[in-house]
Amino acid sequence: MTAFDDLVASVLDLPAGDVHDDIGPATHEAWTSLRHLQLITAVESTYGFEFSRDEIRAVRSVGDLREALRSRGAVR
Amino acid sequence: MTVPNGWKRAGAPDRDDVVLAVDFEAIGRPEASFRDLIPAVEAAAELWTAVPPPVPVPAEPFAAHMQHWTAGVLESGRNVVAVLGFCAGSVFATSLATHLRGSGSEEPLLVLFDPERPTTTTLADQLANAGATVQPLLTPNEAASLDSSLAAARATSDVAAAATRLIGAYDELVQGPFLRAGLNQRYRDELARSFRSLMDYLTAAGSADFAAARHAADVVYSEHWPEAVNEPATMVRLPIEHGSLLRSDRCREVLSDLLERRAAASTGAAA
Repeated sequence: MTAFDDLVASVLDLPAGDVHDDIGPATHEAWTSLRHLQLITAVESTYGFEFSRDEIRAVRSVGDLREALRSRGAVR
Repeated sequence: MTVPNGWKRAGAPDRDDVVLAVDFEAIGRPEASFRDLIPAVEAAAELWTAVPPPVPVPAEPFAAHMQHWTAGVLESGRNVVAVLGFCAGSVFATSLATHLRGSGSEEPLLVLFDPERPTTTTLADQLANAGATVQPLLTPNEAASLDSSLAAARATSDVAAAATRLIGAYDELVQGPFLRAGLNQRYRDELARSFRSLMDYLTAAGSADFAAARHAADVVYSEHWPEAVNEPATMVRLPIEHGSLLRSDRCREVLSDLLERRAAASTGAAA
């Protein structure tokens, strides 16, 4: 369990243990456009950077979000 | 190689040939997108996905969208081997293919996935979906205003008038429930801009004469999508629900096969 998983779980209202990289709008009904941006906002606020418009649209899963953080060295 | 204004390259490969794909990928949408079809395309061509024009588009929205997408492609001189369209994007894809054929380029393959000419109901459904995401946050007045806007939009056949009403209603959501949901100004502005762009896109497609478009299309339907193209070149119906169509293995196989056959025919014609 990571701090990132906890953050995702809190926004998507999931048990932290249920967070996995395949979760996205296609697989999780609660992942709406609003939740998408709430998730982006929470990540930006926690890790201290802003996503570009293209990055926001490119994210389609928890795995994409995790990869975006990895590319910035924010998570391992 | 650079990608012209109005398009974005999906995937990594750098190829001479190009496949154009028209769809509107809203933030956080659950449906699959053309990015899911990269594996079917990348062996033969680059996949360019359409980027909508900046909002607000000028009057004559269909012409404005077409100008936005055709100018750069023609200037690029790249060989377009296929044009793909999903849902309302099929209206634009059909016109693009016709336009490219008329410009002297080699005739591109046209493949449509669940084609649809949008109606005011299509537009209203977009607002209804947005309203559903903030349903618990709506005040009684906001809920009544939303219902009224949806009913008014569905009661008319004028897509432009419906879009204007729906954009106004969405802006009310942005300033009320989306604010209370904790979205900052930047993202509320982004949602408002994105919805406006979607309405422009659907209005443009809804105002076009899709039935009169003449370009032989290969059509792929999901399990329950109503037929929308007369006399297609080929038609395939897959036992897959609409939202998953573009990410399905069967859909990839169908597109790969069409592209291979098109390449073989092109090679044969050149020999």
